[in-house]
Amino acid sequence: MQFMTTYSTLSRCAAALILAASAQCTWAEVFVSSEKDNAIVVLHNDGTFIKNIPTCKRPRHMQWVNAGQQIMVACGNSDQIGMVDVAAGKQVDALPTSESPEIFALSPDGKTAYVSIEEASQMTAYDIASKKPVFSVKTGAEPEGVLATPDGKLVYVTSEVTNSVHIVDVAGRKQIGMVKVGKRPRRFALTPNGAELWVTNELSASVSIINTASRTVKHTLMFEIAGMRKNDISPVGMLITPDGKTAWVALGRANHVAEVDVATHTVRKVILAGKRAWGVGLSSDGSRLYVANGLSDDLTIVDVASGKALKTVPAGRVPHSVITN
Amino acid sequence: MAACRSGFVRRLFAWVALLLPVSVWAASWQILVVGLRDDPRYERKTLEQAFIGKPTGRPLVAAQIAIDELKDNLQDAGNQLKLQDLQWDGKSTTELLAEINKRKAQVLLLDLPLEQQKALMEAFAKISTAPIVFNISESNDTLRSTSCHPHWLHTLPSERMLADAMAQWLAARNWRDVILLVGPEPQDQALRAIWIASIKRFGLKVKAERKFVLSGDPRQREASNPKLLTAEPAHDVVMVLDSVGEFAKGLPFNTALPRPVVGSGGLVPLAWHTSWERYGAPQLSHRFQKLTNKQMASQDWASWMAVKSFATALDDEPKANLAQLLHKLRSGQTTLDGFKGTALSFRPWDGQLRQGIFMAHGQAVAGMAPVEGVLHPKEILDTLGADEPESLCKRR
Repeated sequence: MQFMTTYSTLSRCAAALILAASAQCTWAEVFVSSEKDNAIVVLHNDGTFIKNIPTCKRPRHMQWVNAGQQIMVACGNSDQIGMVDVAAGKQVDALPTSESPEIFALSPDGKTAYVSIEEASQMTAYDIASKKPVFSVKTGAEPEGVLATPDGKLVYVTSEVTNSVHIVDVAGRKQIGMVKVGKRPRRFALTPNGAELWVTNELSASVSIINTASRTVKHTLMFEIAGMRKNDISPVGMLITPDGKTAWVALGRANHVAEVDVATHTVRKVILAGKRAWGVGLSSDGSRLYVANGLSDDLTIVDVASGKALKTVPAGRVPHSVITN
Repeated sequence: MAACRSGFVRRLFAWVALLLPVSVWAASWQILVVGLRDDPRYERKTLEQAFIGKPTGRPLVAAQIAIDELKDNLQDAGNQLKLQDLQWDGKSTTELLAEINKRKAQVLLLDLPLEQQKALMEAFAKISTAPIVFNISESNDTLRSTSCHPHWLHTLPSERMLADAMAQWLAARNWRDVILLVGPEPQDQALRAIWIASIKRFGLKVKAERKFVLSGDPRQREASNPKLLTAEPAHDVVMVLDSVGEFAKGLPFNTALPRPVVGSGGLVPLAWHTSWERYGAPQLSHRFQKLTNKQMASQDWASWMAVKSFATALDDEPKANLAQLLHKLRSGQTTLDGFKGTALSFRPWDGQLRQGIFMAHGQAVAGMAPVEGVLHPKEILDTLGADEPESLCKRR
């Protein structure tokens, strides 16, 4: 996911620079969805507040689209995915969905949105151009994380209640497999080579690492923090860097973010963030990590090289996800 | 009429049981909800009063929701859960055991009062393979202490857990001076013993204790008039213990001084409240509301949690037998998701599900206990209720 985001952002700004329309290229900004403000909070990369962009209600997960000109944002209380134009500073269109969308993924061609629909226990694919549902696949109760593979063939969906990952075949429009993982699985990250699918388990203080070829859990990465109990560590947000070397995992109630070595599946260090560290985003140059803290309504900016939190700045009310350009 | 209807229901279930193609499934687990025939808690007038903390109806729908949640997982491993309903007259445990046997029930959800549960515990000594029992409706601590049983698992919090939660909450705000009002019922005295212990445990002080009565009689006004009951001495909160709920419901904003009411009215400790909006809780509350047109109550949550606990243990170990499942649950090895944000498990020493408690009033959840800053050497949730060293449960 992060790989796609970074890629599209770079291409967008490159295009803007070629056209010499520098105003179009809002370089190095951070976008945070704020669930209770019904807005995307826009910050400079150093955390300085720029503006709020009003959106549909209860905005959560976000993705870049249209070569980085627009943000798609899932709005849980509006039953739609809003299309936010960054330059215009407003929501310009919306894709109606079933009740309460939270997380979604885009097909590699950008034409289809795969959305987890919690209330209906299904994953629904929408054709973005026609705004029509194309197909739905039943999942376990409370589906959450969604990830589409770069080859466009598969979509993975977590089910929080059934503690499993559903594997959906896009061409066949059906579930072709299920992998049991830890308790209350939430979000995904895929290694750039596609070999490993990582899943955060909120109630197991762990990440399940799935071998995508064999569709089995090859390793369970447990998080431990000195002075904390397993129950205090609830991993949710996660990303893997474009070079495939590092994973960043927000540890929820533990108020820390973990830096993990992807090759060896070991934690390099944990860094203190805010209260209930949740969503994570990386700057396009990879130098800074942004951690949305859902209970302290702020954003912690981490210097990746030194592994230190630089500062924490206000970021709306119940910040959910972070993306950058 | 009620007896006639329940008789019909029983016959209907008997027929349904006959028609079930039981042998098709590798393992079909029968879950039997045991309620009390003509249960006074479910009389129409009682339900209409909607006292906070009381059940709002029988617990079957919530149990079915839990079955549906994990149905696909269990089915893949050849397991299936079936829900049956029984309304017992509450008298003959021999008859109840025969009925349990006839229906091949391996799991019981007890929607029964203290005395009936105690009687069933004694009757269990007579049978060789006893079912796993979930107590989903009785908070009395006796079932977890002097009268405990190794087959019992309690998903509803004990009264002491609720009292501890409230005492922690008050201590954390430094609202320590309490006027205690206790009702006239024998159950109110039982509540008093539990709550007084929590008050001591967390360093609160009872500045005055008074007995209240429900009466309009001017000769009894000292005990029935909220203003006279709460005028002095100086205090931070009025704590009311009322097993019926009518007096407590009318007390907030009718006190002599502007002080919060806590306990059985005002701010009340609960296992569940539909205003809680984190950790997937709203989805569960919505599922329940769609099916029943009612708000999910603590007892519904306890029923859902009981089935969910059993289903989770079975999902973890699809080939396990009943004894192994009981061991996994009762030893605390099964990690459970109660949509309260933390992983839950049963306490090995008394079978109580450790869990956070909501501090709720009519419209909202003010917060959750254990409160921030409370410490425990092993498990914060064990600051609520009887901890291992102090447990009086001998039959573990």
